Amino acid sequence: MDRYASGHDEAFAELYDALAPKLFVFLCRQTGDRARAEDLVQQTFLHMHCARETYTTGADVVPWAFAIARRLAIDLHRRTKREVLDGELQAAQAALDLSPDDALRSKEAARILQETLAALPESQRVAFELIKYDGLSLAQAAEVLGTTVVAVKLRTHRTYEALRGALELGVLRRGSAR
Amino acid sequence: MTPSSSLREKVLADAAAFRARTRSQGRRRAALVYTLAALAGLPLFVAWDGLDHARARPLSMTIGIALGGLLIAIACAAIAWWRGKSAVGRSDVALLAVAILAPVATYVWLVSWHGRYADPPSRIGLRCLAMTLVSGAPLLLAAIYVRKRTVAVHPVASGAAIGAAAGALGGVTVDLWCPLTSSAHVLVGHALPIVLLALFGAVLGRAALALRPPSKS
Repeated sequence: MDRYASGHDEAFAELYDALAPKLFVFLCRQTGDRARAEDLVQQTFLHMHCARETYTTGADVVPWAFAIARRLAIDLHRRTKREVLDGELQAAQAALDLSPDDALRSKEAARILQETLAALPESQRVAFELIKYDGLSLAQAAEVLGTTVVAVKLRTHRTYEALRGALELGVLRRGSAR
Repeated sequence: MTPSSSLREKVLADAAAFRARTRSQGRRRAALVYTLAALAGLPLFVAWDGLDHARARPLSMTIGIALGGLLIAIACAAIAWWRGKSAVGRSDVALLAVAILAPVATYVWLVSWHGRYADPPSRIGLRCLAMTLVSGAPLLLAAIYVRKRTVAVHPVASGAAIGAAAGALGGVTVDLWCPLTSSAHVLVGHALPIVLLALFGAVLGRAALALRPPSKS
């Protein structure tokens, strides 16, 4: 990004190749729709291009790109409702080739986790997802969310607690149903 | 999951279609805008007698007070304006700290000089308020203009912090001009305009700093 901000236009393609797959997965999760995610990836890169004059020398480009993508996703989310990528999740389930019983339990656990995550505040959910799913460091996630590392640790810890609680509750319910 | 292959072509075509300033071009533009903004408050300072207006106070004290005010303003600007090693910006905690602490630090610093010299009779401070606003508002507007639609995280807090830092910087001119340091005067004439600029900055931040999807027109 440094080279691109300095006027080396050919570096933009390299930037795209390095960032687009990560941004796409992140935006698919946020929007639940491939077409919308692609649209937002396009907007994110266009915005990075237009704002390259403001890019800080030597800064990490990943948090910047994710922060722009997240902002655009939030704006889109306000206009449309979130939908779940049911088809792709089911396909991923089938690919695991589990026994019917295990598949059922795994599907139930995935549903509980997904519902619990969806019910969390956006900033808490995204902090957890950036670290667990997108592989960002605590410092990078803190930059994306515009907060401190301590706050991100707290948010991810709360998310873990919420997920653990939801799963334990799910196990108890299944046990009592039997 | 990967994006479709046609997306790459679309993104590269978009970038080729829009001419975007490089960082060095952006820096030259920002330097020009900020210089003009910094000079905007000077005519009023000169028209209202400049340094002569503070002649009731020893010159060394006037310079000492202004240097202290400058240090506070630089500390605020360093957090509100410069983003450190990040391209995203400062944390919400840091930005809100600037917005809140800038007027408090200015008030404490100026009032700490009260009684160290023979204060002239105190006034409400409306002229100081006006001069701080006239000196600080152009800096705030310049920052909003330079950064418009580029702040992805906390645009309201960023605007408030920039407003407070602009007020503190504008206040340095007033420190050279005003010989009064009584509590009520400092509150109305020196701290209040920083609060007003922070509030104005927050409103402008929401309206103009916040990132918007790029327009193709």
